[in-house]
Amino acid sequence: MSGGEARAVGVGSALTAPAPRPAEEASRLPTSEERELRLRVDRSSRRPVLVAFGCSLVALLLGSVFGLTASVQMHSPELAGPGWLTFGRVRTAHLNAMVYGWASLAMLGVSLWMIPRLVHQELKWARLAEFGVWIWALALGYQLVRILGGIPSGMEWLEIGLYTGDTFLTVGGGMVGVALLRTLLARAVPHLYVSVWYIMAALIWFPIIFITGNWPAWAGAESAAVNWFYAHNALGLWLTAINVGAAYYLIPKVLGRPVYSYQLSLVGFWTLGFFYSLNGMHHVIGGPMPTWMITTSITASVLMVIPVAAVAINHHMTVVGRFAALRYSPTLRFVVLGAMAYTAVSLQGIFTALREVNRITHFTQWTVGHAHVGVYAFATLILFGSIYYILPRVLRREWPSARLISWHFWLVLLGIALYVTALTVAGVFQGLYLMDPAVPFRASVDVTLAGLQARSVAAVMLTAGHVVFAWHVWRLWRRPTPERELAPFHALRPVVREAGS
Amino acid sequence: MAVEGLVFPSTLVLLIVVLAFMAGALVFFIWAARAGQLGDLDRQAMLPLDERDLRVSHPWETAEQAEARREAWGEPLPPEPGEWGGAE
Repeated sequence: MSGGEARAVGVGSALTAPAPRPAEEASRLPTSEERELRLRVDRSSRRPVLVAFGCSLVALLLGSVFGLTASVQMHSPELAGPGWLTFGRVRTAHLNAMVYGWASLAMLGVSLWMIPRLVHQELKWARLAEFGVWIWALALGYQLVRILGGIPSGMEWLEIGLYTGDTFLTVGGGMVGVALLRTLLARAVPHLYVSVWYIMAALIWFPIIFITGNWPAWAGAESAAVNWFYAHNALGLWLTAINVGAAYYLIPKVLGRPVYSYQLSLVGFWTLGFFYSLNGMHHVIGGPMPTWMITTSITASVLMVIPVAAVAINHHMTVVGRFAALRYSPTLRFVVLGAMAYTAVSLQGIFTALREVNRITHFTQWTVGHAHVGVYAFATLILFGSIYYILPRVLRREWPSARLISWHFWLVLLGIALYVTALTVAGVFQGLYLMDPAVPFRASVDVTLAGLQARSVAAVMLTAGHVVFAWHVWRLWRRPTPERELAPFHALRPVVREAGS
Repeated sequence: MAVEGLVFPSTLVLLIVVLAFMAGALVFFIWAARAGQLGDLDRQAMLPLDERDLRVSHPWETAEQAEARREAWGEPLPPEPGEWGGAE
């Protein structure tokens, strides 16, 4: 191999080549001792990862039922039921179960598994991390009961109680963060892979925005400003950061080749860190906020094209020429589609942040569709793909059924496509009707009806997909299939390198 | 104006938090540069990959891609069930 080829690693200049081997890499390749370490690393994070994934799945099922219920009530309000089942409560319970339960707990599980792997070190203080996950999950469970009981704060994304919920989530998440930080400090590799940057940064950013958002000092317009500062950053600096980090690990791992351009991946990370935090103010366009602040936020939103393009180009160019791999790898199928959705939701977000577009889409179903491209099509699909990759390695047995994975994939893919299409179209018409003074307000509601009904069909598909997924996880957990147990690549079987290779 | 006076504190707080975010990112960026985290990027790109990831045969690859992999990393290893995350 020439020196030129050796230097090409990470740049991906040769799309047909797998991963050119640089001379210096020969000394880095894992020995049998390193493989043994990898097994110990996976074993060290086993319990907290399983607790996090288990609790996240419970939240996923609960959140799906809440979401389906709220969706049906939007077009059939006569089905409201008793007080605790009214739209205002189940919709809030759905949001909190999905964001803080399903997504956040699954992300903690992914972080607890991925960071030790990437720093070649066993998870330190694993008990602390496990305890932290339990605190988070139990506190959230109590908060869901409170929300259904009619005691939310009324601030979107900040509904859970300050002293009975936020405090415990902060402490629980902090315990996970401390364990991961301790692991990072004990790392056995000098460099931090880009996924480590994303995940560890998210674990620092999230408590800051969470505490700022929940600080009990805001009132009136201040509340709205801080509310959207928090909610938007929860998407961009928490959900986005960990899931982009996971994609940067899983795509090269499955394809057996490094990312197209490692330089570009760092550009994406640092520009996200520098520019993202002011984005949230574009949610209050037209509100009682200083114009300069909203304009600054719009500018910051447009600047997001830099990290988004960096991630999009990198992920696409890593996979290009190998899209057939999606047929072989369920993990890659979910993660690549999730990565594509990241590009889509980000570009849609930039577009929506412009005043000319926002004045039509604001207060319409468009925003709900947009949020689901982000939290579901992007974050949730990547989390599904991550769990498909991680759980067999943690439980040391293979998924029992390829058919169930296919059912899960197609149900959620078609479900979210229908969901987003229906609400986006309905939202545009709703916005145009709202802006037309000649059109009665009632017409702007009626025009969304078909979209809302289609959304309920989509919600049924998504819920069914989640039930299939949970059932499959249960089968993996409870009924190991002996012939597929302990796949040899998990075992300590040294790879004998060919002489001269 | 009185209204602006009432609104200003929220923007001030957010401005401070946002600037803190940017300052924090800058501090970490400087640390990363000084600690060598922004160098030797080719090596960093390989961090998630084990020898097995590079050597195992990937059935979706073209003959040209497979040959390039063999030349770079040696004779291919057969894939195992669940090699790429999930039942195949």
